[in-house]
Amino acid sequence: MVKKLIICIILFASLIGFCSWEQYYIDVTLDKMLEHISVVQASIENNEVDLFNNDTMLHFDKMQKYWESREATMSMFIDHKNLSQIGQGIARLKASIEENDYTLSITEVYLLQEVTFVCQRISTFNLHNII
Amino acid sequence: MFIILLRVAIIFLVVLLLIRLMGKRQIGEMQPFELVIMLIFADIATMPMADMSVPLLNAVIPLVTLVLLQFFLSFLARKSLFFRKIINGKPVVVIDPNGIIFENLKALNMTLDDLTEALRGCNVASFDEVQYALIETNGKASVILKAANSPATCQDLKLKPAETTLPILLISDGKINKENLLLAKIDLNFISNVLKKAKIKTLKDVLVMTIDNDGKVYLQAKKQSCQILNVNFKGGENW
Repeated sequence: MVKKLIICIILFASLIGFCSWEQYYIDVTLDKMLEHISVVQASIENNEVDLFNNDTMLHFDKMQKYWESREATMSMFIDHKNLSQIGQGIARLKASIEENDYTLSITEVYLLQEVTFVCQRISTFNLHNII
Repeated sequence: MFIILLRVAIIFLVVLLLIRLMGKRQIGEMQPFELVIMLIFADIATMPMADMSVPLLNAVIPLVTLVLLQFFLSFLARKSLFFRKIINGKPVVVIDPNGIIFENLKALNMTLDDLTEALRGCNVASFDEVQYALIETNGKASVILKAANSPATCQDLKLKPAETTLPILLISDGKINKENLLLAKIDLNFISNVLKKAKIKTLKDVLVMTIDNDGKVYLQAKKQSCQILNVNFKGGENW
């Protein structure tokens, strides 16, 4: 009986440990993603004339590669519908940058930022999300 | 579709494993908190089956948490009378030698019809046969009959029957149960001799074979009637 209890306690501690790591992973990924988005946003705002042929695309590629490297693992923890919204936002932003459409690019980057922020908000460990 | 198939299989195996870990009581009679856990179990398990966008871990983690909670609550209920009363409640007497205790029935939200139905479930047709009736913590009724209405026992009839024995399974659907063979200290020669005596050709033809402590063998071949044999057997004290 005591053995079972000890095993239960170890399992429970492992569960807490795994959940803590998962929360950390999600927080770090979404924080970094928001950082990337801010850099892309600043680049778009500074290069109103020619979005496609300067470092806006470089920053965008960096952001996209980062998201692609994390997406598979994130899909184990977060609802796929929420993740797909970020993926779609990235695709729309890419299209608008390639079109050299400043107004659309700014709109898309704000939308992407908001979607990522919402994803972060609903995944954070806090009282509002628990209730 | 292949993804759904795999998800269903994984969830099924996880639920099966967790229910086995929770113990046989979960399959039989459940305490209130165990019933709650089983209801939630069913709901959580279907979530990732029905919706592919829900990560599998969103079901597995809650299921594991429920099982751990169940272990802790069961442990608390076992170790502490106080927690047992809070978690499980306690049995309530609804009939005593003076008759039906209506206040207790009301407290249980039971009507007389419910009580009559519960008694019928215990093969009791009339209230006057009952000495005590209790409603247990799992909602089932237990009945203690009056002496005059209780079935006669061997003690009442002053008989001294032989003690009952426990048959163990030796062969099931053509396959030998090696564990029980070791327990009974029986070898394959013994099995062959019994099969020869029963005129059964091979092991694969046997549907079931059991042996009890006194050496009584129940043997049935496939598509044949059963046979009961008495064999000379010294291993009956081993279990």
